[in-house]
Amino acid sequence: MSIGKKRNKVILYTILSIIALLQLFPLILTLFNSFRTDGAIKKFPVGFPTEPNIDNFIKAWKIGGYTKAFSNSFTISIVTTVIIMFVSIIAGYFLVRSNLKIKNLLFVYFGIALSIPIFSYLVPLYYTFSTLNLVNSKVGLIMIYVAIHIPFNTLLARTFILGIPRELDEAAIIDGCSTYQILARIIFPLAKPIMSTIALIVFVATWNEFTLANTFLQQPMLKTAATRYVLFVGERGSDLSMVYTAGIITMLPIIIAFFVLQNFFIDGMTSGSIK
Amino acid sequence: MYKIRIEHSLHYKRESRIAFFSLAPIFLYHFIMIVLPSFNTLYSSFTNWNGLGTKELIGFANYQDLFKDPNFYNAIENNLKWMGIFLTIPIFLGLILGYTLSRVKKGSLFFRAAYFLPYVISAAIAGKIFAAFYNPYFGINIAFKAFHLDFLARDWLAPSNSLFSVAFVDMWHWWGFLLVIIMSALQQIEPKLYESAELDGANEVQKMWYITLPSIKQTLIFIVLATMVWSIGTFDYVWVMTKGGPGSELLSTMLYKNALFKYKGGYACSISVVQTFIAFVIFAGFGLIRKKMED
Repeated sequence: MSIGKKRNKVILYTILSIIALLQLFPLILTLFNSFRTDGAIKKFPVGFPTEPNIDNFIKAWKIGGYTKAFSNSFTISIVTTVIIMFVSIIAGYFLVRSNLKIKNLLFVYFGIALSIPIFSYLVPLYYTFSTLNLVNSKVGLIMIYVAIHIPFNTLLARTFILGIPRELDEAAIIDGCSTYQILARIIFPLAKPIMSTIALIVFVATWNEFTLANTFLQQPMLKTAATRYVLFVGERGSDLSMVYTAGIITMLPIIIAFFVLQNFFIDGMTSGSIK
Repeated sequence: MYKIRIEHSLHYKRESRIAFFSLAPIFLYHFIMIVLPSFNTLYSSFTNWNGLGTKELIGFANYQDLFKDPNFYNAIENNLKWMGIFLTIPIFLGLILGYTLSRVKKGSLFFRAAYFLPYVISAAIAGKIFAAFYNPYFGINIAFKAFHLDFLARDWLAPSNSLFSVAFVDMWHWWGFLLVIIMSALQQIEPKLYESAELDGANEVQKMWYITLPSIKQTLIFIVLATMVWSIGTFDYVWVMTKGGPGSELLSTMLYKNALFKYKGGYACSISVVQTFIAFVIFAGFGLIRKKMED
């Protein structure tokens, strides 16, 4: 019995490991190939780097304009994230605590707004933005990202704030705090866990976003890292060492963050999907 | 006490005003940026708008053209195939491995992280890297041939294969996410249920069918609904890898090309309206099923 159980366990872990290896194989292969030459990759696509050096990386960084691309990505993601962190907590707070009759209506509105797909507004928005000179402008893209991320994160903040005891607000009111003082002194400090989840969700989503970034930022110097990479592969795709190396450079920041903050990433990026 | 109550009610009056002037701009901002353009899409779908110029109402002409366009049926078919793929393979994988991992004591966090990892990578990067793997001359085909697996080698992004090849990449990215959601749902199940089932001599399949699946019904319904709606609008992987070339044209790629490259704004908007209509039908269908189940 126990031998059979042990054997089952070995089989089980072997299967789980094989699946893990298959799942990670494309990334491992990309990493290996980023240290190989174009000729070697074209001869055989799978292989260890024989003379590993960082020449590929220096070349890809320069040709790909990564200093600019990463700075664009950072600016856009950070600004969007900070705005959403504040807006969603404020909106979430009033959706829970205010006596306004429209708050239930707004709750339903944000719930429906969650499921509006990009393509239902993309075309008019694009042409309106182009007449307002907001195409090929980071501000324009940030404006859209902020709007898109309001509903989900407001609802996430709302759920969290529902769990903050009302007595804390009431004690503060008796102490003479104004509404925004309550927000600043009680709600924001207590909402730190949900604010970090919101920050993670918005930052990763905007950092990785393709469709809108590719549509609204067309000039190479304005592109985010992910969309710049697509352009780069379009221009330099015949050199496969560059495709893999630039791929590693583009994905590295988020992969490192994932390894450092594993469980926070996994729980954060799936929060709100299940209730 | 009385004084406090007055201050309270005064506070709530003032508070209501503050709440209104805080919520209203947030709502209006979202409404103007997202909802208003969506109504604009509906209106534009009845015009001959080219994107830049003025709009003239032309009735249902765009829809008539659309329903005559063979490309449209091609796209619908591909969207439905996409839906079929995503309703089966990734959900099955997420369910089986989520169930297995949730019953493994050691290492489940490690495996969860390994399966989830591709989810944090942008479609833009994953799409282009897999396109390099799929390269018919310098990609995985060479490895297949070297291992005498010639029957596996093919032109992966050629019309007859491209839809599944692209969907494969999206699934690679997606199923780990489903796994995590399913695992969280499985955690809510009372372990006693399994224990008593084991005492009654239930096998693994019976436990899955009679305990696990009914317990995570809500999560599964959410996944199925989300998959169906999202399959109608899917875009990024296909655009990055084939630009919706022959064999992988979708409603979204068709819309995008008409809107931004062919300057047929009104026509593109009619495609968007059809997409929204299909999504609406799916939502309504789910609502009906849910209501029937509750009755």
